[in-house]
Amino acid sequence: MSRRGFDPASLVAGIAVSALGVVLLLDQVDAIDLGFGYLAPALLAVVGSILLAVGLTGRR
Amino acid sequence: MSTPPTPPDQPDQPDEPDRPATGPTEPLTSGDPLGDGPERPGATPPPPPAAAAPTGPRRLTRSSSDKVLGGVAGGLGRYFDIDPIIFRIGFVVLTLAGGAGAIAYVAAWLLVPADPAPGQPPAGPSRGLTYVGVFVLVIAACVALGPGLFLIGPPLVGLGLIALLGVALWRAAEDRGGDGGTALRRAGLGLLLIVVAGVAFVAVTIGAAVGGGAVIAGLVIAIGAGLALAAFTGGARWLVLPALMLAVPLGFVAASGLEVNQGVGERDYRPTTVSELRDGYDLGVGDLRIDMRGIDLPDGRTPLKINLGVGSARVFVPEDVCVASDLRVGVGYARVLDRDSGGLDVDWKHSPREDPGVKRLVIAGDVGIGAVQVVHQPDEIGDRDFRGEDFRGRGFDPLAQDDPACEATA
Repeated sequence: MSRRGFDPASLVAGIAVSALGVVLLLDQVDAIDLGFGYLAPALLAVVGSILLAVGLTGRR
Repeated sequence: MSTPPTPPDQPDQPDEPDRPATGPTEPLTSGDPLGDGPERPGATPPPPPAAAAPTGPRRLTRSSSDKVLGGVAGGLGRYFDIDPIIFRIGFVVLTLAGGAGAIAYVAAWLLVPADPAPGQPPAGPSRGLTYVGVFVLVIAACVALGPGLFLIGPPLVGLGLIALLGVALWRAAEDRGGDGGTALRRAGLGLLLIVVAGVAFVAVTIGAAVGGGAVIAGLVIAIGAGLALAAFTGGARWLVLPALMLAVPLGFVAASGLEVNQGVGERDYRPTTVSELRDGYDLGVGDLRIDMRGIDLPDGRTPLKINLGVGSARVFVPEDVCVASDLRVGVGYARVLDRDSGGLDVDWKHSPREDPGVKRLVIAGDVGIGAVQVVHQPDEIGDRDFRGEDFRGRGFDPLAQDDPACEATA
């Protein structure tokens, strides 16, 4: 298996997904109260960031 | 062939620098104008491989010659070597059965490039994704900043996820290359993946609703960390899909406040004395009915707590009782006497003036998905209230006159 180098899109996606996971975890431990008013833009931001990163860096 | 092809999207660059140069290749069939340019009947024999245009996996494009709207079905039919009418029927059926077909079609229209013009290289795939990403981010900002745009968020979330899934399936099929003989197998694999994803979605929703949300959130974080680490060894973009398959249903459960570990079924309570009133009425999924009309409530405050995961909660109160309410509904409808509100994140608080000597029922309710209604008589509730046919959407008006039962009598 060959080493394919650095993939910025995966890094952006990983950070975005991790951030979303942290928000969800905070809700689960009752540190925050997540409503659709917060969830909708958060999800959109994650999906948009991933699409943007993939689009800008090119697809493998 | 007489119809001129639609001009393609202008690529950012003629060739993607990071596209593997040695991917699976296949000879172009007579019906596949996707690799080296459009088909040219009667043209000179193709040049030797060394002189050919850039080779690579066969690519999906929107058909410019076989199109009804955007050429999506025509392009799919050509790509999979299937009659496009099958895809058209599928889009129509899915559109009529909830609208998913229209969403998927629009997503494909946005994401799939058009046929390249004669002599032009195939359109670059990255530009469409860039546009879609920017669009989704702008919508995210609008949803976050503008309460008026709040309701357009959830459908766009679905659109984004469907688009992402479509891109992933498309890429998975494209990377495998193959000829027309394997198209059906790839399509079957794609459908299987969608079914598996749907089942996983439901399973995660149930898992989160019964109390496993923290574990699922931890998994999302772990996958995200794995994605970030994998970026330094070539990337693992496919991890995005399982991450979203966990995060989206968990987010839905979290935002709606859904909890289903309080039982399932119908609950009908008819207390006749104050002592029979419970501290709280909980139900996971089902129909909760509390008839308090047989109680002679004392003067002053009487609390009533309701916690319902999914379903309908109905509370019947005596005519001489002043009702104060603090209700939260994740998705659904809330009604207290002659006021109502519905939609997402319904947060209902109403506290009439507290006169002495008034019988005051203070209702605190939390409903994940469904309806909560507080009325005097059953005939004030239609049979279809759970689906919102009775919704009038007048909301809470702070200037509205309070119930006469809230005013102290001389």
